[in-house]
Amino acid sequence: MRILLIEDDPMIGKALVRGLGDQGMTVDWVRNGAEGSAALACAEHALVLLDIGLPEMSGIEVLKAARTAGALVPVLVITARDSLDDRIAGLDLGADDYIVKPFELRELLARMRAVMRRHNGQAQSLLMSGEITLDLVTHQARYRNTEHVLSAREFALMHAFMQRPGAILSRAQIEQRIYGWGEEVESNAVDFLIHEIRKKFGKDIIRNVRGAGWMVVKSET
Amino acid sequence: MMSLRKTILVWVTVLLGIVGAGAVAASYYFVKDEADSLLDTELRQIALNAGEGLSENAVPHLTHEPAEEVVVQIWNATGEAILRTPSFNIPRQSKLGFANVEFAGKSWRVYTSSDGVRTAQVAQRWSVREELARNAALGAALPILAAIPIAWLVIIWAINRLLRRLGGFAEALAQRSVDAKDPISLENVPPEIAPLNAALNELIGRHQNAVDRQRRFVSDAAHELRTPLAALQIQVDNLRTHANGAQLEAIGELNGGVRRASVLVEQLLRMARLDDAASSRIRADIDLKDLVAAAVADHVAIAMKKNVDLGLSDNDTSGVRLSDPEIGVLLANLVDNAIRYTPSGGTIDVVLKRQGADALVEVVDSGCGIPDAALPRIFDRFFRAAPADIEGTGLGLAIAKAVADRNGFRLTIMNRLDTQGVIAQVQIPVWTERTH
Repeated sequence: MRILLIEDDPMIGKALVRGLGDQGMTVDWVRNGAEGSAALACAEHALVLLDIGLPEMSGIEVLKAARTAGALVPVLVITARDSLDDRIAGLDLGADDYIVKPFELRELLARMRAVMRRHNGQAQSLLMSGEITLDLVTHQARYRNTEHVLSAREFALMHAFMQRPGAILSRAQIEQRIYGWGEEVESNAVDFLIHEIRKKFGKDIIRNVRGAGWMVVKSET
Repeated sequence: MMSLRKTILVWVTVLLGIVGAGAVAASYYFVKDEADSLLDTELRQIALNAGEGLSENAVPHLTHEPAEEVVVQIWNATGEAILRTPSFNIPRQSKLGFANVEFAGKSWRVYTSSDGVRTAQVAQRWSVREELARNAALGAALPILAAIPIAWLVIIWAINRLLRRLGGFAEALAQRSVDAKDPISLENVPPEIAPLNAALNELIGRHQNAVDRQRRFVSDAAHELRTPLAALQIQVDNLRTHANGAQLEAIGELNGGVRRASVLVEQLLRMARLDDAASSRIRADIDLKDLVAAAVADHVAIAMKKNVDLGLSDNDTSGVRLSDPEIGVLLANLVDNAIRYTPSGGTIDVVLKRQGADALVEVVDSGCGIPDAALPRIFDRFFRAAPADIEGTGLGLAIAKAVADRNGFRLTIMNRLDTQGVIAQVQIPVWTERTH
């Protein structure tokens, strides 16, 4: 996979070239907006990593010019400014996602994968959070190194969690999500389902919050 | 420095004193002078007319020592006294005309005249003239002496009136918010004070600029730090890919250091943002319950990793709506602190309840507690009460406090009374009128 990196800072540039190279990607690194625009025009890259804080021609201008010229390549913006206005400006101009400095390589890789997936139209079929992946089509779930196909109820439960990772769902909320109206709910049904899922993937896949309910963790900590 | 009132009073008193003394001296001098010539003329007239047609034996003798009266003595050509006061025989002056005579311990003014047959000598005490002058001087001094207390009253009244207006000015100053940027109004200020007011406004402007500059500097510095930190972080991640067992441990430590620096930078940025009162605040409509649940949910993973039992107890506070998204940060910092200071096996309860007109959020931990001596400084920036082996930036509670303050919440950190640990309490006025 060929990546275009537009970044003026030599330390970050070198580190990213090496880090992404280790992941088997080929990185073309340019250090200013003008060269970046030229490289974007060639349309040879699968993804662009664009630093906003470039000297002379800013990343925002590069992005604007590229989108005006009709470039469709997914762009992931790297920024040191995280005010809401800055973020909205980037996304409004056609960035696919943004990441705020400093970041960990794995987070960047995850964002890149997500942007690529969305770009390739796979976004609807996969829900990912941290170490959990849920395939909405095949009902396959993956956690750490375990992969299983879930039963309908188990899938409904995991789907409820994965729609809002990091949010606590109470017993009542879970029952509402996985049982239809008029369906008889046994008192320990939720406990049983969670027990089943933990048996397949390990205890940590679903976390218990005393007094509040259950949740899946949003991202790795 | 002496007060305005005292200064004016002292100077007015001194002035009136000088004027009074001048008036006294002038009156004394002029009246004495006038009395001298007047009384001398009188003495002369009496002497010239004394004894006209006076029979030598029909003499009314003065029986007492004269105080103010004129003493008249007449001698005939043979030198025999035909008019005299028995006990009061001022010696006959050999020289005619005016003379000053000491007699019976007193000073006398004497006029002696002679027509060749009779010699008349008229005398009057000097003290008569001095008394006249003294009385005149006193008369001149009295109204000025009386003017002094009247002047005091008038001046005190006038100054009080003036100061009351200044008092209004001071009150306006006192009630000003630290972040207020508009100049202080010049209305109702005496023109003499206007330059002070203008200087004050200018100072406020400069101070505001300095504060803004400092905040921008912190913000810029933190932003600038993000890029090298990002580079470091990626390099550490790169190292990890190629490392073996022993190196991995060292890289883990290194990674911890980079992360800690990153957290500090984030907190500095947040602090700078909170300090900027003018920053456009995002108005939101958030349920307190959701914020508390989110603060707990965000820390479940780290609590489990540390083997700390993190729980939530929600006692019906439905419908508390808040508008500031930073309140989430306030709650998160409290939970984060609790986890930091609670040892493995400990318990943390996040409690949401109603107390009177307030909604209360309490984060109760079973950690090591806070030394009493450290409690007053706990909200200071970069102050850390924790044992040195617990990581932290010293900004978490300062940020929490700043968020609480700008929302009108009360944030209290106290040691538990029942057992070891800390209660962090946020008091949110909900059911009374809110001040924003």
